[in-house]
Amino acid sequence: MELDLKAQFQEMERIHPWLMEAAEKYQLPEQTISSLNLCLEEIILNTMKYGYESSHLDCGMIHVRLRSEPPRAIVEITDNADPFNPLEYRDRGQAASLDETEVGGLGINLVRRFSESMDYRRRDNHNWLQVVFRTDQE
Amino acid sequence: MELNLENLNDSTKVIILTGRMDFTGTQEIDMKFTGHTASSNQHVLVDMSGVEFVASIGIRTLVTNAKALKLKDRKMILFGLQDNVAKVLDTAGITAIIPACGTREEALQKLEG
Repeated sequence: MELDLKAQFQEMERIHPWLMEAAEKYQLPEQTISSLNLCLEEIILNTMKYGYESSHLDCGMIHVRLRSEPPRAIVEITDNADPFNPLEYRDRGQAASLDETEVGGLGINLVRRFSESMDYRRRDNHNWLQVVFRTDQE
Repeated sequence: MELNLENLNDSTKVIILTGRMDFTGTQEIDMKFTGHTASSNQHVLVDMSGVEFVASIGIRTLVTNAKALKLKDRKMILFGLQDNVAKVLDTAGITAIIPACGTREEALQKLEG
């Protein structure tokens, strides 16, 4: 299943209903839906917030494609935002206290921990990110 | 999302959250939440039992407000987390920083202890 989003914040609310439709079609388990939901939310919001700083937000397009290959669900996110490779983003580790906690910067770490694997390529002026989830694990 | 408030006593209030703490949901309650933590000198218990999803933007709201409370020497304690919400908060390391309890009673005990 596919979803096209404009790089505008009000488009964020379309992710969850679309995912629920896809989950029903592919019979995805609760845990996979939950991980997929979290990762899509983090990745797409990140792209909308930071991806279009050097270009015009009003022509930003984000394309999402989800397919089921049991025991995996695979999501591909393609956008025309500035180059950004989340695989190169360094994990800063967990904060030990409230004072040390940095607000923000958490999203990509969560994607890493809630998915099985990630793959990134920059091609034809687009970011292509693939995130793989297991559908057979708790 | 919905945010409801219950004043337990002079020193403690309960913020009851319901819905999805994603981008859209968190925006709906963020300013109210901040208003409630800023407007008094009470400790804040957060009833999370009606929260079915949390993303980093929701975590940001919790952490920002917990920090603001700490500056006033007040505490924030979460309770009633659903399993998938607990998993995200644990993974993000938040439950090590903002205490989380099973029930309101346990949260109150934690506050006194």
